[in-house]
Amino acid sequence: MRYWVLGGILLISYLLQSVVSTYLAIGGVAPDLLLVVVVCYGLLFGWETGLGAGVIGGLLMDLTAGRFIGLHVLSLGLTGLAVGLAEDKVFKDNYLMAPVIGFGGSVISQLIQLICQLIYGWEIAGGVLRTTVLPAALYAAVLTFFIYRQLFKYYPYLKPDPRGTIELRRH
Amino acid sequence: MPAPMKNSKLIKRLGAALVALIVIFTLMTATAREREQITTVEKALATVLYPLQLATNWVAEQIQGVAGDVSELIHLRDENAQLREQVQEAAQLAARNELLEQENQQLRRELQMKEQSAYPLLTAEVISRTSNNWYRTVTINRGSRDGVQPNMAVINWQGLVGKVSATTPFTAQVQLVVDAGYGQGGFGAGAKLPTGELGVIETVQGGFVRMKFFSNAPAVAVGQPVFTSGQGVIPPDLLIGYIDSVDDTSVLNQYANVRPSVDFHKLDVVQVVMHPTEVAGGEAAP
Repeated sequence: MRYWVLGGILLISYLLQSVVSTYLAIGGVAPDLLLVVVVCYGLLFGWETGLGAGVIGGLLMDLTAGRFIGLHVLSLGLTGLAVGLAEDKVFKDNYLMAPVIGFGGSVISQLIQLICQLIYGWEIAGGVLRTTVLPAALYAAVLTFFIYRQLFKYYPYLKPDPRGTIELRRH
Repeated sequence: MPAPMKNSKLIKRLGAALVALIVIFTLMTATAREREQITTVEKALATVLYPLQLATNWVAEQIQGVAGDVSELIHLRDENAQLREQVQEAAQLAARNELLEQENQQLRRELQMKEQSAYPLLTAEVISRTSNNWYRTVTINRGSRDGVQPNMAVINWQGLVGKVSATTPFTAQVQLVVDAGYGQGGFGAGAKLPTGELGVIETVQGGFVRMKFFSNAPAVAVGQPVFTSGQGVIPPDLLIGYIDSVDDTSVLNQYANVRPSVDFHKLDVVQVVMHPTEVAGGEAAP
């Protein structure tokens, strides 16, 4: 596995999210690029990569946010783990499956965050599911479709077959 | 893999997950509320990420700048189209304003003339024009229902326009002074100079007006005004025009070319002189 490439993509998605996501917001809902990448990693490379990407990405988010450290680690980590557990149960070349899982992953991630916030006594605005969770999940679903397709194209490069390439010998 | 080893691995993983959760919740508990100071780890991470964020921000700003330029270009194009439209509207408004101003001035002059006139006047608007080498007439929006009768004089603030040649209930045709048939038969053609010289107005083909003097040696000078004499159907003392040149080439008659005072190209509003005429009413002019 070319972890350094995966790490680079994760870092770029974090930087994009932390800097340009406000410009890409639609109707006040910003895209969650990190979540999309974590979901894609989970789907393509399994629960360990999904969990790892979720924890690292979440940690970056939490540490730069400066408060509620662990919130994103938990939400993204568990989402990466959950999606990654489904890795060997789905066909990777089915592009239509990716947005569905992206939608679900986004809902799971946001619900974990909401639950944690409720546990710690944060006030949650009424109708947050309709106004934030569902639009953000839809946005994530669309992004997952495109990003998953791109990552899948490079899947053999990102996760080379340990057996190496088969060379046909001419006799 | 043997069962005890598999269980041991599972227990290890569960333990790691439990520890991780405890750590996470401890961190969350400690940082869920506002803090006065951040930790060294957070500071270090922020310092490491700062240049990367700065670079990303720079790229984003460039992209945003280009997008902004494109957006502004589109906006400017729309604004340009709107402004062009506004300029056109303003030009039309200005032209209309000028037209109304001219119309206002003309109506004022007509009103002034109407107030000062010795004759009852009926205001009429020119609704159509006929102009060729032979006929120069206009149609006005007053007819026999308004009391307009043939041979009534038609004037405006500049002077004599012509005479009514035909009427319908709602309109009347006005034969202009510059119409070639205006002086035919001597009706309405009597003219005079301020010096008392008398004559008749003749209009020749091409719209040229000339005055034929009764006298063989008239006292005439260029620039003199020419008025109606009252002989014929037109009331006296209506300005016809000005002597433009004197033609003394003929031995039998003396002529002078007359430049009409009325601008026949700008006839919009005219006054019908409701003075009863000899032809129409059979009464003498006052």
